[in-house]
Amino acid sequence: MSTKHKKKPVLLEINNLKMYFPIEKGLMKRVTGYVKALDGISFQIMEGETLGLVGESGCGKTTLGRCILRAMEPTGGTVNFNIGTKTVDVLKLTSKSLRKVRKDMQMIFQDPYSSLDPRMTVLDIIKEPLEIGKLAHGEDLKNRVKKLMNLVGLELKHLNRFPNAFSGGQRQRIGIARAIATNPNLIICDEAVSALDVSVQAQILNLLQELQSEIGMAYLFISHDLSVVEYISDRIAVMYVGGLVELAKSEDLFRNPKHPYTEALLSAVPNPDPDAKRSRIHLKGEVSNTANVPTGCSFHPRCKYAQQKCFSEKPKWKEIRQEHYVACHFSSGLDLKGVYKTS
Amino acid sequence: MSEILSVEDLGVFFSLDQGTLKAVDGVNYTLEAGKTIGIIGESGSGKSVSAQAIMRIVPKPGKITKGRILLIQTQQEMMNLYKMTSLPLPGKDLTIDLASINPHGDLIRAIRGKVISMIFQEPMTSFSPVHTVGNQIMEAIILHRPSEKKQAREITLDMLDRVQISNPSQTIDEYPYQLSGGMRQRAMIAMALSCNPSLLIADEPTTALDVTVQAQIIDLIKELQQQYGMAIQYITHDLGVIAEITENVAVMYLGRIVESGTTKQVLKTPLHPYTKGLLNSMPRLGNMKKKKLKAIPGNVPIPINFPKKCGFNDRCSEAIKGKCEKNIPALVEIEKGHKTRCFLHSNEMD
Repeated sequence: MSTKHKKKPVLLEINNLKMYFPIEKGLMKRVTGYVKALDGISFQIMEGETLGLVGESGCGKTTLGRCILRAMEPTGGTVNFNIGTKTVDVLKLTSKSLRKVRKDMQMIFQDPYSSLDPRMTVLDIIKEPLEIGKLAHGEDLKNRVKKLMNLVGLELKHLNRFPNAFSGGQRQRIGIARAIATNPNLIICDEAVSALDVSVQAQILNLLQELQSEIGMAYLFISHDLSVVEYISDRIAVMYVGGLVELAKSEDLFRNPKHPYTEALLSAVPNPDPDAKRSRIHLKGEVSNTANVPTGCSFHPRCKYAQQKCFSEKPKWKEIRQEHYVACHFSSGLDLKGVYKTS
Repeated sequence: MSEILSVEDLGVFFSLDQGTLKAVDGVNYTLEAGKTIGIIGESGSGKSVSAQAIMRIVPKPGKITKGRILLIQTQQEMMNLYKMTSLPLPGKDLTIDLASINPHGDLIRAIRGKVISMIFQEPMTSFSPVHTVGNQIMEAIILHRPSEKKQAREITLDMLDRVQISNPSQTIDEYPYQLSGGMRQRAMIAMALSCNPSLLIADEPTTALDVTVQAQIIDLIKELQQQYGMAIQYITHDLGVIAEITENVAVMYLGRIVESGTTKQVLKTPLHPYTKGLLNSMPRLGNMKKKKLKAIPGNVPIPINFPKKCGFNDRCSEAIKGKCEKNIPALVEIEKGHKTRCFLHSNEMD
């Protein structure tokens, strides 16, 4: 536990990342507006840490994961990746250099059924990244795959089978073996356990933690499930309509949220204790559309603390106390309720 | 204490090439007006198939092979029901065994949507994409409330308003794809409640929704239950939702109920190793001590040609050698209202 208090080196630095999708109308495909999926996002991921990323549908968290890996081309911003002694902007690399960098960042997907090629055996699936990265051949390659199978808890006799022979949890293990094959420094877990049954989810979460202890990679853990995110993350970032609204250490975010949206999100999670008193914050209205972001603070139409300034001025992303960032004009004056009992 | 539905020793089997898949194998529970029972289970537990059995929509080759599903009605309700069919009134009998009636006949069709309604996990796949939301809700009203045919549109607008859709007069003429996930689910609830059912079956209705929308929907369902007085069977794996809205709960595993009781009893003092395993494997918000998650090892087995033993034996850390792998424990009451199916608590066999 004590190593977590030492300041870790920065692995990834994202600055003002933007992803705008043009909205085209009519025969002439005139651009009438933009879906601002990401609207100027800045944050860092430290070596070996697990950074949780939460938000609701349409907030842009999956888009963020894809842009970091450059699985889609962002509209603007930088993604600085520290590999060894060098720092590269992932967004500016040529496809040749990008291919080399890709082995240092990998992804685990949500759907264990569509993320594995049904025509490839387990051996094919896991060795593919090693072959593409020219990291191993022949016997050495096969041995590495066997070692990975052991690491993720799969039996060697399954090497020649196809994905349809496995359960959701086992497929996810195959996906994890594939992701760690190249020894990446960063793995983006995009809702990696959301499609799994509860008891299997726990197995996979434990596996991810064990692998991190052994290999030391950082995780960007994207999820909508707050309990899961709290369990696995060191720090957590909260997204709303294409922007970050809060970022803090796990315990700080849950005990002392500083953004009204975070407060509302925490109060919405149903409590498994039948005796607990319930006081839910009801957000009026629906989540805003990234095609039609409100002026000023994007959360103001639903915020019960909103004042005049919130309607017209976009709040700045500020570090209000050590390692606790928030985008809100009035957060220092607000007494928001966290999840732990105050008494 | 007015019972509306009594499920007795229900069995639903699927005849497959590999053998007989026993999806539901001897399930008993009751539903009361104004109360909510939670059904907890994971994939393969039989929770969805038992709900489908009540509605008689079990997909082929599934069949109800044993048991009864008794729907209990008042004299007036029985008369109203049979009026919709070409069948003669069954005399003084106030119960209908849903398991034995024709799954394609007039009677079950009169019951579906009017007496028992169901809402599903994926509203996008339960709505017809080529009809407006309004038309689909009105269809149910015209079918089940024929005397109010002319007011169908008004009733629909009122229902959309009750489920807190912000602009009912706009939504009524929209297609499902035009609504967000939360709005679609509300529209589905409006459709399910449009004919004032006595029983609502909700099969994971909020699993696919964002947490803030889920909170609104479960508050809404609870409110509507108070207004309408219906019984609710709520199927979910989310213990938080169970704790918030149910008074009683049944835990299902491999086609059987392994524990049942009040929500407080089952969640606070679980008896069955599976229930305890589930509770220990879920991350809880506010987990200050960062207790490591204790996962249940292994996977849920497939109930085809399953040997005579406790379904949970192979994954159970407390299994009694020589006993649990040879016999099936019976569901036995251990403390008042709290039952479990486990040799650790009783020697009775099934």
